[in-house]
Amino acid sequence: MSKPEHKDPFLQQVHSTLERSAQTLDDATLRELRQARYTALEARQRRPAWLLPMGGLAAAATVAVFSVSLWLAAPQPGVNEQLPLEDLALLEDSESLEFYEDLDFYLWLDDEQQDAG
Amino acid sequence: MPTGQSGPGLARIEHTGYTACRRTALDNSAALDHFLASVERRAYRLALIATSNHEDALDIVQDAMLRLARRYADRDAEEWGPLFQRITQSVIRDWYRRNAVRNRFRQWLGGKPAQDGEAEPGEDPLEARVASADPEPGVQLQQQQAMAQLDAALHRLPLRQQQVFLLRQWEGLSVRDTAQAMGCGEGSVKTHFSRALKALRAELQDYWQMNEQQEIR
Repeated sequence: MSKPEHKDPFLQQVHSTLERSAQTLDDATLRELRQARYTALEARQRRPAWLLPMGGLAAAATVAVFSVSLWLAAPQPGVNEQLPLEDLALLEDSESLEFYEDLDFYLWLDDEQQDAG
Repeated sequence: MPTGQSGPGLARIEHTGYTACRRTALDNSAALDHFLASVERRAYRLALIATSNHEDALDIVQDAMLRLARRYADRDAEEWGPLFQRITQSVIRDWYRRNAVRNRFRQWLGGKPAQDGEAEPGEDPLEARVASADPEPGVQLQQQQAMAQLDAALHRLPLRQQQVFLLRQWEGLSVRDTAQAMGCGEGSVKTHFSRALKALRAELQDYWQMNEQQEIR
């Protein structure tokens, strides 16, 4: 990364102020940053080299299992194929939807009228 | 025709190979340590400007370092810089999203959303600033005030403008590298930078010029 050279005095001042702010961090913050760095390096060293290709293998195995599950879970031809379309037709028409929601009530009303008749 | 090697010869080759690998790993660790040490202060300041919170800024740097060390330590050292910038930006964006959700919950529960960088009552924001090695207390105070003004002005910018400005202006990234680090287009980088610069000039230029004039007197 190349450091920018500024001709604009305002940008020069912004840059020098930011630089100064990074160079004058307090000791406690510097200690914490050092600790964060050590933690990252240790985490990297804890991972054995032979595990590197294992990540790729694990990802491939996951994709394979997922694909097989999807294939096995796919609906058989002719079974329930119309259901999603029916649902869509239902949802398209708000009046129909209300009618279906109150279907129990209309069935009860029909029974009552037949009994009375 | 020899078909292979066995016995002590093979063991020696394996040992030499192991030693070479071990040495490479150690060299790599030392190089990574050196790289992280060279970027940690700026990364912390970048995160601090974004979050206005010391702990959150440290968490962001820690997270970015861990991700780089775990996933990309084996890449060429030349790639670490752009990768680290991209990871840091990604972690900052994650922090922003989480913080936005947390604030929505706080508001929903009837509390006051957390104000980033809000000073405690009675606390002088300059007190929290670092004592530099500058021997002149007057100069030191002016520098701290300039820093505080710049921090506040940068923090008021929208996140994208703020980070584009810092990456271009402070880190010296090209428009292309900034776009890659930020995950946006080059045109977008130019627009964000121009808007950020305009806003910062409007807010700071007069104040800084006034300070310079006082310094001259």
